[in-house]
Amino acid sequence: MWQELWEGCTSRILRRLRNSTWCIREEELFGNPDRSHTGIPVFNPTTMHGSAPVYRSAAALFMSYVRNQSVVVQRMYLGNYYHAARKCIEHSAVPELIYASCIVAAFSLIGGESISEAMEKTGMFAHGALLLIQQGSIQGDELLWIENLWQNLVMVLYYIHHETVGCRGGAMGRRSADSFVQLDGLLDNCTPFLPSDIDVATVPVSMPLAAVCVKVTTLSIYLQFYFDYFLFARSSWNEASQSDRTRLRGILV
Amino acid sequence: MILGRICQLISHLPNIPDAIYESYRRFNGESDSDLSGSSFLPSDRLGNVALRGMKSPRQPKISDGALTLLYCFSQLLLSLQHPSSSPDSTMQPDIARSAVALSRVCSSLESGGFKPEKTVGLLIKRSLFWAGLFTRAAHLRNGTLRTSQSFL
Repeated sequence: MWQELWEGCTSRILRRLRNSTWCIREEELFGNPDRSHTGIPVFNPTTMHGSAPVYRSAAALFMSYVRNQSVVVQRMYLGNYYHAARKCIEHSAVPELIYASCIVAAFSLIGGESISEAMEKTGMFAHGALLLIQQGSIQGDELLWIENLWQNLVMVLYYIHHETVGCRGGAMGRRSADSFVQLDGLLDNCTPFLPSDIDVATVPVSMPLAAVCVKVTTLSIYLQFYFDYFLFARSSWNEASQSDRTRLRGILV
Repeated sequence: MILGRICQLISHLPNIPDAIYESYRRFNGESDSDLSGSSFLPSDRLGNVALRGMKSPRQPKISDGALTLLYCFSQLLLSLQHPSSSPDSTMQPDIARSAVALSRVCSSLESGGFKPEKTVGLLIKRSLFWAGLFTRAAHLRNGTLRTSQSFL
C-alpha cells in the first residue's frame, strides 16, 4: 500500500528533505494550496505498523483523497478506518493505532471537511501518543519520532489556521474565537511534550543534536501560537484583558 | 518559561552561540547610549553576521539561521518583560541590543544566498517588524517605551 501511495503521488511532491538534521526517515510532502502554502509530510512507516489493517485503511483513506475519489468513497474508507480502530482498542494495539491516526490526521488537514475536524483528528493522535509516553511504552528514538510526527501535524495545523482563520481576525467573529480556543485546548493538552526546567538545565553534553532540535521546535511552536493568540485577542477585542496578559507572561516568561 | 528554555537549549547547540555572540557584539566605539539614543540605526551598523552551521560551521543552512533568529527574538521578548522596562523609563539597552541583533541576523539571512522560501520571507518580515518597532521607537520617541510595555 505504501508503495502505491508513494508512486501515485509524485506529482504532488512539493519538496524532498533528505540527510538533514531535522529529517530522520524518508518522507514526501503533500499539500492543499487552497488551505495553506505549507504541506504535510507523510513518512514511510516501519514494516510492522505499515502492515496493520488499521494502517492500511488509513492509507486507503489518504489515497482516496490524493486520487480525487468521490466523498462517498472517502467516507467508506473512513468507516473502514473507524472499524479497524475499534478492533485496535479492543486488542490494546495502541502503537498501530497511533501511526494510523497520524495518517488520518494528515488527511483531515489537507482534505477533511473543516479545520475543526482537523484539530479533532490531530487531538486524537496526540492523545494516543501521550498515553503511550505516560505508560513508558516508547522511549529514546521512538519517543522523538512520535514528537516529530506531532510537530509536523501541529505546524501544518497552525499555518492552515493562521491563513484561513487567524489572518481574517475579527472579520470571522465568534468563529475565529472558537477556533483559537479549540487550538489552545489542543496545545494545552499536549504540554507533556514541553521540556521542563530541569530537563533544560541538565541537558547532557552527549545528548544528540536532533533531540535538542526537536525540543527547540516544540517550544517555538508554543511561542508562535500563544503570541498569535494574544495578538488576535488584542486586535479583535481592541484591548487584551489583564488576564490575557498575565496568562501570556505566565506561558512565555 | 518558554522563552528562557528556548535560549538555554539553543546555547547548547554547537557553533550557533558563535553567531549569536557576533550578532550582539558592539561595533568599535559603540555604547549603550548609541543604541538607545535618538539616532536611527545606520545601515552600516547592520553589518554581516557570519551565520554558523551546526554540522559544518562554514556552511550554515537556513535552519541554523532560524535558530539564531529565534534566540534573538526570545531575548527581545525577555528583555521587554524585565521589571526595569517600565513605560516611563528610557529604552533599556538589552531591548535595543536584541532589536539590533535581530536586524543583523535578518540582513545576513537575506544576503546569505539561501534558497528563497515563503516561510523564510515571513520569518524575516515578522522579525524585522518587531525589531523595527523598537529601533524606530528609539528614533521617534527619544527612547521611551510608550507602546511596547502597554502592548505586552
